[in-house]
Amino acid sequence: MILEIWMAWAVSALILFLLLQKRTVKRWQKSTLLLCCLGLMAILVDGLPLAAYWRGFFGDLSTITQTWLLFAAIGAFRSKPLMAPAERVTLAVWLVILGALLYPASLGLSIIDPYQWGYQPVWLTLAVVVIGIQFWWRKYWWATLLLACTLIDFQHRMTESNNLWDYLIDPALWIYCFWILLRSRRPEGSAPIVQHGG
Amino acid sequence: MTAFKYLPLLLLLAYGALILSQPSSQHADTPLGVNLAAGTGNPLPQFQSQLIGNDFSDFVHAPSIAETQDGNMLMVCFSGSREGAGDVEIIGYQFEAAVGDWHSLPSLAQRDQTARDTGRHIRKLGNPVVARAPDGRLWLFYVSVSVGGWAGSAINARWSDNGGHSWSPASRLINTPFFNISTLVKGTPLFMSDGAVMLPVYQEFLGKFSEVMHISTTGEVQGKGRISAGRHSLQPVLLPLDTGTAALMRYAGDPPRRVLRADGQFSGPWSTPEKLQLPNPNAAITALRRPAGDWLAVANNLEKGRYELSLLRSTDEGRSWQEITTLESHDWVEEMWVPRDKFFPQLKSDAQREANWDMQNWEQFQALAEKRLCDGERCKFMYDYPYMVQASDGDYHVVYTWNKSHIKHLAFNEAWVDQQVGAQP
Repeated sequence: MILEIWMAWAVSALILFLLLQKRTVKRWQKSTLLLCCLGLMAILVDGLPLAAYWRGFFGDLSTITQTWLLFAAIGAFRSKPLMAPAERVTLAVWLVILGALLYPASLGLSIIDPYQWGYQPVWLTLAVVVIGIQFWWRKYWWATLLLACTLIDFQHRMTESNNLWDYLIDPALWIYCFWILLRSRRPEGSAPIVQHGG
Repeated sequence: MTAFKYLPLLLLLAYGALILSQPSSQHADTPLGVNLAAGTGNPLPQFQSQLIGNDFSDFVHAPSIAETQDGNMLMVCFSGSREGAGDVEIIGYQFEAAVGDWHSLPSLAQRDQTARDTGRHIRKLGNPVVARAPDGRLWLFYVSVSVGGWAGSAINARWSDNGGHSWSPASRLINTPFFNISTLVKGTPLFMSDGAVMLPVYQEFLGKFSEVMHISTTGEVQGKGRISAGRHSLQPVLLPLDTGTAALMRYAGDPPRRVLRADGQFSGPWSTPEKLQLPNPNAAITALRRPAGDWLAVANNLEKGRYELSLLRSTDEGRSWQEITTLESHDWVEEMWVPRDKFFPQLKSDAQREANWDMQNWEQFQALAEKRLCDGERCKFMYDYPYMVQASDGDYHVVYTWNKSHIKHLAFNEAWVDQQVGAQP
């Protein structure tokens, strides 16, 4: 639990940082902002850090979300995203597909619950490996690394969950991936897709 | 750069192979049954009833009961100023056989302690379930909510190896991929031959449906099974069959309102739930299998309201039920709402008969009852959320919420049940 609250603290601070960092230009400004966000999420309210309130609402976000946030923060400091737009869109497509497979059925739409497949995840692990190999073949190194981190986290049970799905995807990530796909379909001449999005 | 190019692939393949090479944790699919080697007990019919606790000022609800290793009974429920209030705690009472009375225990779970243990903000606590594993360990499962109403629920687990005197820190059970919200607990867990816990749970977010969680002896969720889907089946009760398991469920749909039944294996598949003839007013039921093989249930045998509570018996594995006696009823009450001027004299009479508190408090009790049970000039009796177990001496113990103010405990033996069955035409 100690590790998970630290992770919630880092994740909530990173999200706040990424939302606000577009107003900063220089690295020292970004560094100061990041430190402020980390400090803010550590403030105690009724004996609990603000990050615990965040965690009460969102729970533990998936490994992909956490690692992607880290990539995005690094990209923000470099002023150049780690993942190319095409890599990001391809990853988003796969995550949207996985979420579409998971959420409606697991929320009670059918008697089949795909969430069950994540507890002893033979087929789900194979699917992650196959998708990862496909990413690697297309030279999407960062996306491949995201999937590898997912398996590493699951193997070492870095959150409370024993289910591989919880390391792969979460509802916030699913919605974000939809947003990436919508943005990627903008006509030419409009704003470029997702600056600093990893 | 070349090294980085291959590193993600190597990690992916290595950890993929590592996960795939691990043996799957198969669990026994055979429940030990709900009875812990039940004895035959006294051959003379015995029946006792008692309201637990003297203080009616707090709202108490969702009781659960288990036998501790020393043979005493432990009752847990939630208690607070009102359902969903921030001051709700999980409280416990233990039956002291020597004194013949219940005494309160220190609070078993609180909001702040759960927040500290699980590292997240907790807004309120809800339904608890307590059960004793074959190895003597007491398990306490209880609902907590961080955001919103009961649809935002998650389940926490604590255990005790000293009969409930001290408890492990609470841990969060992860059961859904959608922020892990919407899982609640009500029914009696079954224990498997390998010591694993099969915990019946239900979801109340977009759908209302029943599931069973497979929890290891160390409290980790190892798997789950879906008993039903859709929007109408809640609060499953699991009963062991000769092969497989049956589930009885509260019905939350349109009339005709009937108890639902399905059977299957824990991890599935389960049969499509069918409506029984047994009415159900969208209220919890409890049931268990007697050593002789027939089933007993305690339920509101009504389509609307919870003003009667009945003991029922089935000889065909829960497909048909016969009422063998009413545990709570009033001859003159035939519908949910009754006039206020008839309600309170009856309630006072019932309280005088049942309560072990000083009737000088009647006016205070009446004021609270007015808030909890009345709507203008009409009021309703409420006997709900029953929970039944059989102790090792063969006696049955039933607890339920009595008019939203007390938990009532009934204890009866096999001879009393046989007597009730024999009295049927």
